[in-house]
Amino acid sequence: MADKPSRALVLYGDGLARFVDPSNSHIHSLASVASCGFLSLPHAPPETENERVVREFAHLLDASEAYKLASGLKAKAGENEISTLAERFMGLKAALVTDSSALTSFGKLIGLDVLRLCELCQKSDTVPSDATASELLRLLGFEGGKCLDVSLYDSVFVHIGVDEHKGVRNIDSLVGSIIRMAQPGSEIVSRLHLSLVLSYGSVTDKDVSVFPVKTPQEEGINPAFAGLVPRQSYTMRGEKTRDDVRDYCPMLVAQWQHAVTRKDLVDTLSFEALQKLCGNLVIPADRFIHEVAFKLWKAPKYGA
Amino acid sequence: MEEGDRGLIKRVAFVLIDGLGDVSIPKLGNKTPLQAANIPNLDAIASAGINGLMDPVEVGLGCGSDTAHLSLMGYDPRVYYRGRGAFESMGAGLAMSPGDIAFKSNFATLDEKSGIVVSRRADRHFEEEGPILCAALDGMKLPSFPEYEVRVRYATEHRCGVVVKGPRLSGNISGTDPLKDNRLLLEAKPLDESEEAKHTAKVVNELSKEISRILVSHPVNAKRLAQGKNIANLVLLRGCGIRIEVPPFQEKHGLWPCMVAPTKIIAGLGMSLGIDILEAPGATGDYRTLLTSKAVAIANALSAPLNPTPNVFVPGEDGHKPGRSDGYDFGFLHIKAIDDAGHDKATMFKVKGLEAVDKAIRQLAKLLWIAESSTNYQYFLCVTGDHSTPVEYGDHSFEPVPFTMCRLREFVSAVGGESALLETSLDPFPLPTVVESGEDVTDDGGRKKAPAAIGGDSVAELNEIAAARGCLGRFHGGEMMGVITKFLKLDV
Repeated sequence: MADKPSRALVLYGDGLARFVDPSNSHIHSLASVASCGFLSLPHAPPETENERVVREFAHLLDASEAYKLASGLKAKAGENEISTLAERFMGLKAALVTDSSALTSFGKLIGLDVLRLCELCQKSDTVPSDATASELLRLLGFEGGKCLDVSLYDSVFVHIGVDEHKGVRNIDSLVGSIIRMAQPGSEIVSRLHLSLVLSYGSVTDKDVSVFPVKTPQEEGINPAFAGLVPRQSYTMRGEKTRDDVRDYCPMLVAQWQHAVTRKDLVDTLSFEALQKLCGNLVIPADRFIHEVAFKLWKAPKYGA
Repeated sequence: MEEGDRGLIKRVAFVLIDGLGDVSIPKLGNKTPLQAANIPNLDAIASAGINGLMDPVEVGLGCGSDTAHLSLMGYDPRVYYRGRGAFESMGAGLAMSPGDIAFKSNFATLDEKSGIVVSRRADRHFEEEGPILCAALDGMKLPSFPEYEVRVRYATEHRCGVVVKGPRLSGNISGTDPLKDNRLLLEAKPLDESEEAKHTAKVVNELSKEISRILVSHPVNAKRLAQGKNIANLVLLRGCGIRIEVPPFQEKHGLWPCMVAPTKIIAGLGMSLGIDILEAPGATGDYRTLLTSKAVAIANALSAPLNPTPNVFVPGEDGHKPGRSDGYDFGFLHIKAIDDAGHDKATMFKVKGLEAVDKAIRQLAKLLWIAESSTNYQYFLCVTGDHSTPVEYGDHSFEPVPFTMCRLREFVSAVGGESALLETSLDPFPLPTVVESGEDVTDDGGRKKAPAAIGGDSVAELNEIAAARGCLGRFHGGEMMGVITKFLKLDV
């Protein structure tokens, strides 16, 4: 329900955005009821694939400072300099489900409980995606179709990497299972805040022209008004301009909770469809966690 | 704003619909209230002009009306915001000097035995009793701190402004408001190590107790008790603040500003920015408001000296003074009822309230068009919100709000031409009475097809989803005045 704190499940398909195709019907079905948009990232420094995985996840949790400190890109000024997610978001209880060892270390560093995805999946004795979905929902206090008063976690981030076989198909099945369990009228649907985030992973020069961030819309615009276009939200941090925005290959995001999110015009989760029809346009990836935390009542209102 | 050799004077009517944005609501067929409402005139502005999505302060940040308004007016709240109290108190008519502190305050109900605040709002309809209780508190003395003067004045609904005047005060203390019903009344605490903050917390805690002592024995409460109503035996003190000092709006943007805002906090914020607050009889800042009165006041202010400019409000004085004889360039019309509907979880009222706002905007457009037709004034209409107040959530949220702006001339074309606009009745009308039901709304309420887009982009209706297709993209509220002033200068 809109007037109770949500519990968030974030499915993060790391590097999987380019592999979504029309057969992934559950992903598109989610997009068709969700609020869709792009999450912009900064330019990548020279890095290994493992470093990229951690860095981009860190952006999603607005923890890039922690990443810089942990990776030695920035010198530590003292002990306890890295804040946990719970410290930053009013005691938020969060878990990370991943098989990436690099991400496991980083997750622990920022105070996440880390669970192994492969172990979670192994608990299946029926349809694998149904069992995984049930297990993920159980972590959030949803059991037997009911919403328990107390949950282990307020939010669960599931990282599914590009090197894990059948990545997109797994996510598609998982989304299908979750949506089946969160039917209208159920206790799950009223409290579950579901986000699907798909990134492009490692990018090449070719991607610059294939997946460009273009806002505002260029179609149907009267050129006489071009001079009025203000600095875009995704290019700003507070009142200052961000100087390192990568204007291609943003993450794709679809967020859905019954009576809590907006439904835009998107019916297919693809770069092209989002460019033409999404309702959320582009925001910086590091503001994503702030939006999620607000829906969990873990981010206070600024002002009165 | 005077423009070029043609001597055109460009002026903008800025309509801010508090709590405008929302999310998709199942009972409205997964539409937002804006999508569900029949709002041909708001759609016409979108169709005739430029559009975008606006993050009032920053992406993902749920904000209050105070921080949002500061941001929209071009004042970074991270730099200038010092708490809500001073805005509320100035808006309620209390003059503030440097060093005075003020609170945003609610009349509330306290269970004296347990110390629990059973209701943070003693009564939303407190327009008759609120001023009486405020008069009883105004000028009260604090036994342990006789050097302080306490001023109290009624604001709107359950709200009042409280100012403490005297030496060694700090704005950096917490309030007494537990922020949710059925929680213990809090003690004010210092938020820094200064002696001033520690001392101020003591003063405020005594103030809270003395207020309750006076209220408990007041005849208004005896009567309420006899009627079975919640008694107002407490004033919650929160948002302690000092008056901000900022460059005036006119200096910052080159536009002479005025505002119609019966909501005291908005009026106080406007005064802090050097904006004249216009008198608009019948405009109340709640569900009883007469939107027509606001439209007339703004139209007169923007068309003076052709029409007489309304009087303006002076804090600390009971009377008004004449407004600027040459009129104003930026007329800010604030509408609170839509936000109230969001807080009250009144879904259908939010829809019907938006339709009433739409009607009032047409009246405003007619009045301005009459002025434009006979003078060298060129008018612009601009509509947006300060934040979303999702009606099923009941409080502010971070979702961006639609922004739209057009020249009046193009608006007239979009609504079917001058003759159609001039047929508009200028009779005042009340906000609709709506019975909320749990039933889904399946029809479209007679919503007309949006006009074709004839302005700067392909957008032809005002709502959260359509605005994303606008030529302005998605931007921070701090950019908004730049868009407005550039549009005024644009020669299309």
